[in-house]
Amino acid sequence: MENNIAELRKERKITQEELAAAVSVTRQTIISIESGRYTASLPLAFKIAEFFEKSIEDIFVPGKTDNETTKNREDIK
Amino acid sequence: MKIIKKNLIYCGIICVLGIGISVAGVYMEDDLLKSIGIAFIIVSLLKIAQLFILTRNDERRRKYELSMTEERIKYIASKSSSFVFYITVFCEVMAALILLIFGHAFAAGIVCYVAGAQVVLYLVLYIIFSRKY
Repeated sequence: MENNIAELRKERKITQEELAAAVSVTRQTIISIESGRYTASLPLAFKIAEFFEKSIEDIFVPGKTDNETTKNREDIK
Repeated sequence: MKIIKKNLIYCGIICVLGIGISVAGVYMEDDLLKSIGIAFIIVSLLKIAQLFILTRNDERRRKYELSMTEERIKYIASKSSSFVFYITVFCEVMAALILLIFGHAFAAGIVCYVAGAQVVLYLVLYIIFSRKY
């Protein structure tokens, strides 16, 4: 799952610490989400979307890996 | 604050347990028991001291509580415990095989029972949770 949290954050001049405090997670979690190492849960994704006043689809986009997974599933079918 | 209170209670229980083990060690004149008891007491007292310090600093307390409840931490903890389970079962089976090779069939049997019980418990919990979720 890819996301544009880092871009949105930079656009609005918000630090990782501020975003983390706003959505009640640690800064490390924001770092992990931004780098794509960790996928946010649905409640957290909603919180982040709400914080940036955007929809979840505007922030989170299925990445290459997800597309490959879908393709593999289709191949199996 | 709720998490800190809960942790304080746990630490208190460990401290009492440590005192009990130490007292038992003194009565039984067993140095190992005494050492284990003292280790329990020291660790729990240090943790209690840390928790008391946290209650005096709002920012640190918030960060501590967050680190205890946050979803990524829970995810990591759950992933680690699942790995520990697989590694433990694997090591138990390996230990049982080694014990069998060296002719300790009884000990190997006990280790196998423990590994089997863990796997059965896993399956039972899996069924329960798959019905729940």
